[in-house]
Amino acid sequence: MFRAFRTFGWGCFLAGSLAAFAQNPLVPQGGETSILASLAGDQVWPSISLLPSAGVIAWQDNVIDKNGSGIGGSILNSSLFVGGHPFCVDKTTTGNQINPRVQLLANGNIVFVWQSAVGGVPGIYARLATGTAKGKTAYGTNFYTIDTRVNTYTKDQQADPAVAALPDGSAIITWSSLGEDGSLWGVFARKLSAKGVASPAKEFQVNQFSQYNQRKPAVAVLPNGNFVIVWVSEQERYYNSVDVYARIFTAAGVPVTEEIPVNSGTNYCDTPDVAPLNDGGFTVVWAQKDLAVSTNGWDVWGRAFGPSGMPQVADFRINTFLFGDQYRPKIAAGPSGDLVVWTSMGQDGSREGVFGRFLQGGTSAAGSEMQINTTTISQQLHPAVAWNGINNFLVVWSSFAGASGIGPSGFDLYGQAYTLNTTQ
Amino acid sequence: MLLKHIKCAGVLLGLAAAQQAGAFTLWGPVEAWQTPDLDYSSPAGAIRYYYHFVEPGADDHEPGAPKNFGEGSRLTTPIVTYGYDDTFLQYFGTKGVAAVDSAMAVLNALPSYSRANLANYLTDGNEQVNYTAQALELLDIKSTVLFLMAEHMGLMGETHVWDLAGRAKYATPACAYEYFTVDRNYDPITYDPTAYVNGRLIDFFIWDGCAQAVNVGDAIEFPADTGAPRYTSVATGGGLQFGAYYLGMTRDDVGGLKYLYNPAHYAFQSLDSNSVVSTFTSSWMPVGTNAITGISNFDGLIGGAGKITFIKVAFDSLLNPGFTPITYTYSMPFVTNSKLTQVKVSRTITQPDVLFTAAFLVGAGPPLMLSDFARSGTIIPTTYASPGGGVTPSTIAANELITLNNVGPIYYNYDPFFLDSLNYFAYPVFNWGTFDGSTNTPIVYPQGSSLAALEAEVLQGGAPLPISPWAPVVTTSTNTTTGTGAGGGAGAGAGQ
Repeated sequence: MFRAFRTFGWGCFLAGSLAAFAQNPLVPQGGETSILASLAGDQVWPSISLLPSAGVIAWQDNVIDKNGSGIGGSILNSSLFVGGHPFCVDKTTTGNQINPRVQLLANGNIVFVWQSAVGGVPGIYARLATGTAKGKTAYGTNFYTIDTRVNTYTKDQQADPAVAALPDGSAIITWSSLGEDGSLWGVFARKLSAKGVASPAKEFQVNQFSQYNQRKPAVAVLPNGNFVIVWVSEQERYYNSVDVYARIFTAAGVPVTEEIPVNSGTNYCDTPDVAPLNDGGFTVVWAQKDLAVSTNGWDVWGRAFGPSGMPQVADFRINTFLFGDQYRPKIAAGPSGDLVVWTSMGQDGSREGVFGRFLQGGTSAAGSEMQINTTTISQQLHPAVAWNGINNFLVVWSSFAGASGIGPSGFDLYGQAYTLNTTQ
Repeated sequence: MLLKHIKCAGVLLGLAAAQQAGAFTLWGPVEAWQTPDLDYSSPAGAIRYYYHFVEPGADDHEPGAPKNFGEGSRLTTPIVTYGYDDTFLQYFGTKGVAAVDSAMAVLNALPSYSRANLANYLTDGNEQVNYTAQALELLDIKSTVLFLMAEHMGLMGETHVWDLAGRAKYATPACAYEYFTVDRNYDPITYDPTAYVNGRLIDFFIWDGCAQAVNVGDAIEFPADTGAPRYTSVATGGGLQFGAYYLGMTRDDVGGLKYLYNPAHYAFQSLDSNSVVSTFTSSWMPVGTNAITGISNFDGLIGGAGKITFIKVAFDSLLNPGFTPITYTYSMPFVTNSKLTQVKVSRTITQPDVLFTAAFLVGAGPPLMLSDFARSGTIIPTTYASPGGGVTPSTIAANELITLNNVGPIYYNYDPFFLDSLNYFAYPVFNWGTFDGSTNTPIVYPQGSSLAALEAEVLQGGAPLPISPWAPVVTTSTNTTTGTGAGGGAGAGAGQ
């Protein structure tokens, strides 16, 4: 097997790598910051959840549980820096724990959700911890449940968990499950109460069309307490179609709508994310492959929907740099709009970089596409984004840090905060 | 002609309508119609244009060609020995040996393939990433050997989910072609052709080199999602990303082995030349007349071996050229005159079946190419000739020579960019490593290479590099800012 240079062509991107911040609705607050300082091993796939006073971060870590991949967690202070030492989230460290998600609940407690192969076949696990204030002083000791398996179907594997906080202090957790709906992957969900009790007795099926794959769900809670789950469905519209669908449920998990088609085009779609709108609707973003211009690869698209699930606008492309892959978007809702972030190949002049753009009112792209990472050499990837409820978006990502002087430290977590530009 | 095309498309749609979880691809000798212009490795081992020049990194040359269902080749011995020669031992040392041994242990830990419960094997998440190793572009030896052995056992990769079966040029306009595309990917449970591999939808586009005056076309697979890796099956050589490592074999890999090596899966095949049938018993023959001994080059309707066990044998070409022959004895299912029986086989080896070596594998350009590995083996064609000209399974001989590239850490400079040591990207292009998801620091080969030095080179770019016997070679350039760059050479980038 011959293997050619992955570095080919990177230099071609240098000239186009300058990010423009002029007229941008967002203003960087300070510079790029190391979230956790330099830790041994690789800290990747971060997830964050913020409140005005504090926040929490989780990540995948190949050191922290001393047994393959584990889940790390830490408390962020109001300045969006780590307020305590990193702690290990997974109590059962057997096997690999990957794909973490973290969510602050309505009562201030924290739910961590992840994918674990502790039983041999990967499943979805969750663990609850008390509020952030205690976390500052008793980090790593404030869990009040053990690792709880969320899925009840165990005949085959589960993957790609997502979580959102419901108004009653519980969490809604969704994931992909292989074989459970009778045909390849399907999307399922289950509530986890503030006490760590999962309900209903068996997870409920989210997708109505169950043939082929339904996968990679995301979830957001709407202002009226309902929640919306979005996912990818294959061959639902026609042979080889790959589209994004959404469905709204009450807080009790009762369907409010049928499946709602999200994208209107015919290109392949993937990795959707969703955020609520102030009017009760929601905005969906996703990656979409440009099948007409193959060199453009994947782009980031979005579309806003009303409270009933009716589309408010046509699909719109969010990234402006088209060459190569812009993929795996994440979205967070602020008071006047959303911040969408994604990974872009080669755009910052050196492998992966993190880019973002503001969506005014969640319905249209506003301002320029922003390069979020300042350090560009090697890889910056796996971005996550959250709004702190008052004045800041925080974007975190994983960046190759290499040697720290005390030995190899691999990937570390970095962050960049933004405030809304009130001078416009 | 148009009607025929429409019919063909209808067949493909119908096949794809059935729901399958995943699939495997089989390989065997290249057939006459599998020509270079359809981008097959024709003859065996030749370059596949698209995967060599257009999108390097996948399976650019292969030991054979994909097969239709029922035509795939396989080993006909349940025991395959392996060993290392001095070039491998010198470069990769004991840690390299341990890495290869651990790959063989994964395969040996599989149950008898026909009894394997496919639900026990991952469709998603089998390829994990050590992110530091990824940033340093390290290629995992253990995972690479898993691929090589999957191929050696008869499985082929996902660049053959879709293949061209025909390509015809119209007189006008220029570069107007029509194509036949076929599905060479089979579900491990239903054995139906499918567009899914390990539960993942694989689509294709047809690439044609006509516009570049290249007489090659190919159906190029791509997954209908953004997920990495691009390929999931271990049997796909180009599927292994830098920094990635396999946890084991995927569901579809095991499904393919389950199909190929099922003892009840009979095919007219040969035993290799090292094998002698020592006893041949058949229940339908009168007692006393059924013993046949000493048959070499035995062939007939043979069942699958059930499982392949890999056994390490001592071999040192430098110190011990006189390898002590080893004889293994086992039974193989055999059908004669519609009766199931067993043949006892004695197989004597005079060197390891699979021999791991190391050599310098950098190709002359342009474009510059380097090979992670090279391998050569033997196909024993079936002795059965179908009157209709159809193809039956051949035998993959147990012997295979595998050579891993021992070029060492290697870097890339690209004129007119990054001409001098102060500005070039000091990115490592490729290096062998051993790593997993643990806290253990990745091992970089040859032993003695420093992970920390590699990291520093990645991050420092044009800054002075640490003095190392493996410092990068600097491109000769008139713009070089120091006097040490002309002609490059080890250490040229250091201390400036």
